Amino acid sequence: MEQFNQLSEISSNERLRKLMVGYYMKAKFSWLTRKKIAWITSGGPVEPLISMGITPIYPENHGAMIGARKMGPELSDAAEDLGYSRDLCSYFRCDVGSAVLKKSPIDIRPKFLGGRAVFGGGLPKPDLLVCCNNICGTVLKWYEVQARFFNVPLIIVDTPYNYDGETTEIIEYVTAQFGEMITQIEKATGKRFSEKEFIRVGELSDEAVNLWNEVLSICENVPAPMTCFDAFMYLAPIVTLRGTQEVVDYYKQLKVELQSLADRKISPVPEEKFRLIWDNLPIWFKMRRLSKTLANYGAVLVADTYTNAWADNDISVEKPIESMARVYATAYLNRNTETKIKNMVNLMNRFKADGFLIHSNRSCKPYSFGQLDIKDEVSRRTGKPALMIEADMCDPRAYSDEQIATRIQAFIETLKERKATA
Amino acid sequence: MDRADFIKFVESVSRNPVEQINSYKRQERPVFGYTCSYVPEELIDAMGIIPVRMLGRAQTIQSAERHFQSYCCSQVRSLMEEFVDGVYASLDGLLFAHTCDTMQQFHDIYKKNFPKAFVKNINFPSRLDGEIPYNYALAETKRFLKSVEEFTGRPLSSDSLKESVTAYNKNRTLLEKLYGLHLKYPVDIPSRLLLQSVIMTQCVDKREANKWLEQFLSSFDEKTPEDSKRKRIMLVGSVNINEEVYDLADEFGAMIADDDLCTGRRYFSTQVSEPTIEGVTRRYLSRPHCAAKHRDVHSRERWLLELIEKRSIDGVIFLYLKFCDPHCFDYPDLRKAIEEKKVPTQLIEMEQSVAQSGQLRTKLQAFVEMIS
Repeated sequence: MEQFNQLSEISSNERLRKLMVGYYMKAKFSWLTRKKIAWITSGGPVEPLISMGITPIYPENHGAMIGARKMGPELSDAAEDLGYSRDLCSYFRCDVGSAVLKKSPIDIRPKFLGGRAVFGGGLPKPDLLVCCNNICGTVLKWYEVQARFFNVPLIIVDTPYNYDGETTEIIEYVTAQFGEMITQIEKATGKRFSEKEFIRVGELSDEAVNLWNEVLSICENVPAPMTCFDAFMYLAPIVTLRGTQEVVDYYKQLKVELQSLADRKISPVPEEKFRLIWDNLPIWFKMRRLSKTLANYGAVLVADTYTNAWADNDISVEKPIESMARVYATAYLNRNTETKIKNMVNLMNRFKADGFLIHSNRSCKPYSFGQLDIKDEVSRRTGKPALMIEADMCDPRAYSDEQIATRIQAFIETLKERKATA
Repeated sequence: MDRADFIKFVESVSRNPVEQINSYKRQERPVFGYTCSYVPEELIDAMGIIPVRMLGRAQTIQSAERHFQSYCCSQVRSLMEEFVDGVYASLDGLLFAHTCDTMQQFHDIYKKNFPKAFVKNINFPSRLDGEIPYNYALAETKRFLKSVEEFTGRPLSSDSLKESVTAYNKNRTLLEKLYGLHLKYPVDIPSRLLLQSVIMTQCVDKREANKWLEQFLSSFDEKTPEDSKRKRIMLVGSVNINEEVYDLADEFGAMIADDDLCTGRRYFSTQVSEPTIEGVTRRYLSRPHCAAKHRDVHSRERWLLELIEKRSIDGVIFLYLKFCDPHCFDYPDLRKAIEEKKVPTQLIEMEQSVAQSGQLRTKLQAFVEMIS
């Protein structure tokens, strides 16, 4: 796993690598341990699966890895050859391409077998698919495609978008579906659901989410001890393994280490001049380049809307299913645009930001449509400037280094002028 | 009224409903625009409001550029263009229904830019299977209805709902009959009349629409069917306002025999079996569904294959709006399933309202030759 933090003293970086390799190794060898595999969307309800001993696998996390390894074009091509439009989500295209070509950054070649790729690259085959559309409608279609491809059961948790905020109708609907989902998982895997175990996992999940929130909040310090490029990496466990003790332990250590850096005013950028907020998914294939470009100007991404989407959880012991329904029904991307504007303004204030960078992501329509209005409104409410760059999270084919560099340079000039006149 | 009057009427309303809206306004009748066919129109109609379908017709995009990126579908971009330009300024309100991500964001952006407008959304479920989605859909329909009742200031009466459901069901029967007669009289009922008639009924008080349709259809009562061996093409896609595809099919000696479009069969299929809120909700859950909705992983395939067989379809054209994700996701598997039945297919991606180049002509001609 690639690291972008320029500070070698973060020892939890190695722990992260081991955690993620271990996770994928265990999943790849699940046939030995007879563990069932469920593919699940990134905002999906993972706690019931973990409590039932089922290994959750996240194609979106896999998509991010594919993007960071710059395998996007090759795998997308394979999906496009099948007839999938290039305008569709690049995570989806990469996932389909990987399933067809059996190519992936996850390519385990055991030494005892002479380093041969005997198991094929890519994610372990699912026994079950769990799709929660609280992040987009895309996943609904994506999982339908994969349900036909792998011929396995598909469980859908339909979480209606919060047009008018959280309504009783939505919470009752999602709660009813969670009850149904548990029965469906039991049927598909032969595992039994235990409420006691579920509450235990829910508490661990809550604890991890709270820790993650605290980790992100450390960047309120000036200078910030890490940038969002680091946070995008540190995000993997909270997405994939929340609900387990090892994730709690990992974030505890990370928090201590980052806090220590913050206390000593150590920053990954030599001189922190501009503090910026990032909106939307990372551009996975340009992480290093963008982090360097910004660092050269003393610009630091101190917070973002994406990693903060996993910083909100509250599964209660009294009403575990209903509280879980509330958590998943009101996930960040499922909230309306006005709420997103308020959230962004809040981040700008909390993190003392000088401006914000908006990634208009061709692959993520629900996250990106509305950004033009959000940009104007957040600027109006905070008085801070914004830059919008059009790109894609995984597909570099429409990306121009020069163009983006020029635009960032111009934006930095604006920030400089503002600081000078302030 | 003769056939020419009908043809003239449907052509004018389907191409530009603004005059129709204005005439209702002159009669002091409230008019709501609606952006999606999951809006339960019967309920709106029963409240004394005329629902008019919103289909983006703007030829060029300028004002909407400030709200939607270039990778947004042209249906939404051109509608936003028209709203910003005040084309539909005389509407009393605008109704949305939850379908795809783009429409979802469109709702928010519209609401933000028109803070004084009456805007309501029915948050229809994405799942259509079983009782859990039904219970939610019913609760949500009632919540939606309440917000419309606030506008009218009076509750929905069961008698007027009954009357509305009767008019809507009749309209569905008449459109079904039109589709059937078109197969027998492809010259007197050119293919484009299917599209224009459906859009017309989406924009006109249903009783009026029914009157027009009834008179037109009755003129075929005693008529001997035309001797036609035209190849039958079916269109599959989201919304469409492009008449050219229909005309080209006719011109090359084939016909558009049926469709699975939101501006076609999907709109009028499935009757409301009970004139109650429950009955209306059931209808919207059980009608042939949009690609953005889920019944099961093979439901759209089954429906299309059934239609192909029933109508003896010779070829299928996937007529997609560029950037329409839900349909693009379904395409490869549907194409495979249809081609396995030895029915050729063709994909045509287009932008709403943009005049098509010679490419469309060439594609259509080649496709008709292939199925002939």
